[in-house]
Amino acid sequence: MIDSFLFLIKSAFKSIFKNWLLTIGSVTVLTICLLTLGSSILLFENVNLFINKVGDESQVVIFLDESLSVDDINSIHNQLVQIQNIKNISFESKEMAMKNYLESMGENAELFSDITSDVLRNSFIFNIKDLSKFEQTMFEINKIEGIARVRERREVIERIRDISRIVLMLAAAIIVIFIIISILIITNTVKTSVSSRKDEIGIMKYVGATDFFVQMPYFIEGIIIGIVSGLIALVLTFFAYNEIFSPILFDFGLFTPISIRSRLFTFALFYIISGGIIGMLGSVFPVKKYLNV
Amino acid sequence: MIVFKNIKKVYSNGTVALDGINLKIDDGEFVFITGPSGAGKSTMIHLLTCEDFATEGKLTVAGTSLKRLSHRQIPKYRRKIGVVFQDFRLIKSMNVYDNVAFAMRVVGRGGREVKSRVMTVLEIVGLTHKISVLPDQLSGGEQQRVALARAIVNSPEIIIADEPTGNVDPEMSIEIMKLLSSINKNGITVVVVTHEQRLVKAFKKREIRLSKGHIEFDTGAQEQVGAQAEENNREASSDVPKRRRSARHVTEEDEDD
Repeated sequence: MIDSFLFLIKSAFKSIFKNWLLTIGSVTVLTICLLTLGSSILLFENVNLFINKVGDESQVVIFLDESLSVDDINSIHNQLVQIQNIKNISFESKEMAMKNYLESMGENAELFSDITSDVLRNSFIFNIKDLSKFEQTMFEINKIEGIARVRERREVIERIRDISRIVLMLAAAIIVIFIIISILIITNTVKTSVSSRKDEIGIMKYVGATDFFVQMPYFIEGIIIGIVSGLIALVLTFFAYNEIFSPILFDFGLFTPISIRSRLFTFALFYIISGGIIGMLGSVFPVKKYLNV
Repeated sequence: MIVFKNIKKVYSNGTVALDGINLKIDDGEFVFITGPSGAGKSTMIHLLTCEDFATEGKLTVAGTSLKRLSHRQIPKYRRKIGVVFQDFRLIKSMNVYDNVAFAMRVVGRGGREVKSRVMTVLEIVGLTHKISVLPDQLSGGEQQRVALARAIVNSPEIIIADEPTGNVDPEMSIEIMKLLSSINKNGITVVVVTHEQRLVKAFKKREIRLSKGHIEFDTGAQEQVGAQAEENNREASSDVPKRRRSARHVTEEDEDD
């Protein structure tokens, strides 16, 4: 049995090297396909991270007028409690807001050490329970006196989501196209090696080889192409993300991009399995024709 | 045993290749199938190797009814038969040893068993000194001997040889036939399709002559063939089960299974 298995592996490698030009073509297209797939996942994760950083889309902040007394602030709190569609109401004093701001600046906080909390306002932060009643709730909030400004990020976040959705849909379309192209090119590669060995297949069938045994070397060939493409895509993704995209995103200063290092194993597994499956699919069809001997 | 019962083969273009063939080849027999081009010899081989199926009738080979054989069952059946072709059909990129070992590996056999069995059959065909040679470096006769070694390496019950001497010089033809004859003496049924009457006469075996899809004559009914089969069986190795000693057409009294 081990002998037969080694024979199959040897046959697969022989054909990979014999049709090396086609093999390189298949690996290139499949690598591009997997890179697009991986980049889309990284994009999606970063967009989500960014949204989380920017805040919950149901979160609303109302900044209070500087002239308000403690009683006025309590009165606003009571009015907010009366509104049924809001929850998690919390008060943030201007001192607390300054402290939080400086914390978020990290090492750069020293640059702002001269600024006092007086430049900021006291605020109430809360969430909207049912976003479908957002407009109506905002109308009720705006009726409260003593509110200087309302900050709600719903529209901004919705826009980010819309853009990321469009980008992901485009990526999905590109991925589907690349998967089809990859399968077709691998099919073509395997077809070439099958047709150059059709006599061999005929002899195999005459001596009693099962269809499964005849197909195995081509399956293995497809899987090897898939795995090699997966590994190349993994290395390219790692270096391109770590050395190019991640520093660019970091330099924008918006947020710290997700780390690929911690996801390396998942990515490796994902690339190898996807590559293997695509490679296997590409090798199924061309052999069938020669099996009816 | 090979039994053709009312076998008819009509191709999709309407050509009747075989029509009402009734035939029985006993275990351990050596049979020549002869006839002019278009007589139905190739069709008969195709039916025996399951490359094609009969339109009507029942064909049973080594206890397997080929009519009911599904695509998945064909490999198992083919392991019972060894096929030798006129054009050898060796794999050019493989040396003599690998061409023979290949047949064992594809049916899942491996390790030391392959090595010892391949060397045994190469010894039978007299090619142990050429195990590392590629097919293109061999003569026609040698290539056919490799093909013969490959056909017997999985210990088949039946050898089907389609014009095995067609691409071989006359002297080597005799050698190939002698080899087939000695394989037959070990109890393996041998069916040889040939148009070379010279060989048929020289080897004095049962001859089934086809013409236009019918059996023109079958020497199997003659006493001498029965005697020949008996002689072969007597010389067969002790592990070969006792076989029927006669060879004849399927007759009405044969039980209908």
